[in-house]
Amino acid sequence: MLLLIWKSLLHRRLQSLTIVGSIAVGVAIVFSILAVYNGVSSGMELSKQRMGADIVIVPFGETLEPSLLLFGGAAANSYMPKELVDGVRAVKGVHAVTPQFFTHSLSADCHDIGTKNRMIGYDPASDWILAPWLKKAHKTEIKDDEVILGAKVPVWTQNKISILGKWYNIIAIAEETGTTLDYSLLVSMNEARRVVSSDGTLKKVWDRMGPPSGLISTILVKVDDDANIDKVVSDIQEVGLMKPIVAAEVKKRIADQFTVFAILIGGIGSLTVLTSLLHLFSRFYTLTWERQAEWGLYLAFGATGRDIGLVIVGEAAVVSLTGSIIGLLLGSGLYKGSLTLLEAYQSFPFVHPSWGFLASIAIGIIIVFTGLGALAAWLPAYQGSRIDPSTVMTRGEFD
Amino acid sequence: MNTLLELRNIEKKYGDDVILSKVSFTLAKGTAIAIIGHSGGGKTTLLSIMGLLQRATSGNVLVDAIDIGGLDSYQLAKLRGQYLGFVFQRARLINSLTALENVMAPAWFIRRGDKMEQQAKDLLERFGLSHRLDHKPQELSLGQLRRISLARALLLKPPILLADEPTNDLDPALAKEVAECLLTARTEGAGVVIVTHDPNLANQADQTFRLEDGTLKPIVYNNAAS
Repeated sequence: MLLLIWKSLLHRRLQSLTIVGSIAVGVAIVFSILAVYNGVSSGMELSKQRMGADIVIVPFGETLEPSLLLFGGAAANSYMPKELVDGVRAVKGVHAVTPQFFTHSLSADCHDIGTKNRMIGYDPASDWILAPWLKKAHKTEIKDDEVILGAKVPVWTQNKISILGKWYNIIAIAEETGTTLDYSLLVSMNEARRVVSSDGTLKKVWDRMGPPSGLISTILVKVDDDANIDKVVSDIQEVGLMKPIVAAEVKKRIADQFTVFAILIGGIGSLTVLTSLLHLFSRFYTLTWERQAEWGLYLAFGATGRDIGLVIVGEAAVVSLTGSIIGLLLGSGLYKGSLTLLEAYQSFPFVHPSWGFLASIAIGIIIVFTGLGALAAWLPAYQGSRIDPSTVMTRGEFD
Repeated sequence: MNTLLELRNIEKKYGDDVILSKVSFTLAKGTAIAIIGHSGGGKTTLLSIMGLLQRATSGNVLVDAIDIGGLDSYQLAKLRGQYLGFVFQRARLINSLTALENVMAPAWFIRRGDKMEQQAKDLLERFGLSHRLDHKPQELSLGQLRRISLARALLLKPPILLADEPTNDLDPALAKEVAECLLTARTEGAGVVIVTHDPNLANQADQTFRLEDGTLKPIVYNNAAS
């Protein structure tokens, strides 16, 4: 009977390929959406769990996307006086503060590692942001020739890395965060300041704001559990000319944006799937009637109504299975493309789903889509199984 | 028991139209019965009832002494697979299958496909089609299609062979060949029922009936049942 199913599908090749194609598109969209959604959800969850900053303070007038500042070091050459750290620390309701110093992106002029990585100066003594991502014991100090690498910074030697012509000892590699932190090189504040001080393009900044040794780029703030965050923000603004950003609002906005994105794309995927299934249903419904004489012939051979139903459902299942498998291959490509886009714009924190998760959704999709395909053919199959066997005697030639 | 198929007082109506009325006859092993009659006279309907493809309005159909009146569609299908072979008015081949696969198709539904390939090839060789095994129906001539259809009907060696206008549209030589093949099945113990307009074919049957005004009348008796 399998041969009969296979031959029939091949005989109606164009019709079969059309349905396989539409199912494949639906499956590709659903697979990539599920994979990306899982990656972003995990990234968001990790960020919530480990990025303890309740408020991110940037220089007044900074127009960078807050999510870029929140989820890692943005390549922003904006600075403010380091004395503001003590002022913020003194605000009532502030539990902890830690400063960071951003250098420029290393992509343009770094021939040693040659990617989109950026260097961030941080203060290990006051830091609680980066510590949870470090696999080894948290360092309370970092020397000027030491570096902590983000999870996706490429390295060719185990212990050392050359950055802008200087060799650094790698003291730790952070876990994957799904954020720009994965592409960051974390050095001491002094070292970060030294690196930018030699950058001629920033000379105007130093002339205006003073030498890098007296500057910072951001202050990350953790507030007391019982503190009124709006009051804390208001008090911080009294300390000096700064722009406090409430992390929860940023995270919520990102989550909302992603939810809209997921609903939109997921909706398109679902509609594509629904269209495919309706197409499948319509095709098999029509075929059931067009092939009455053929079913009648099988019944004359001794086939039962159940056999006819199995042939119809079997054809639908084979088409759905083939479409699902092709769709998964297309979906993998779509997923890779989506990742490239996400990484290019860093709009959302992202953690790669495990192979186990990807395999399980692939298997799940195959089962669900094959099942739905078979289900779509169920009514036509039921009708086909009830066809009057005498049609073989009365109908004209059949295809 | 010699009787393979028995019809008792079969009546068939479509609404108020009476197609068959009080039709009775028996088909014994190793005999051939021909049924003639004008077009639209109910011959195909009668053959459908004999082939368990449709039910009579009243009366009894017995296959190998089994009254089919109480059987459901599943049991009827099993009985068809076990007892009946059909040669249809047109070849009725499946275009997606090759000649060999078409001959083997009935065996697939009784789960004997894997054992019947050689028999199918032998039959096609017997009908001079061993060089056309892998050809699709659309690549074959009308005569070849008819022979494949006949091979398909004979594959499972059914005890009852029902043929609906088997020589219609065929040239005399091919018609003779098809007739010989059908009637040869008698020698293997099959009962053959042929619905035909062809007087030559009807004359070769052991008994001939004319279906007229819904009733079956014996018109010729050619020779005794073997």
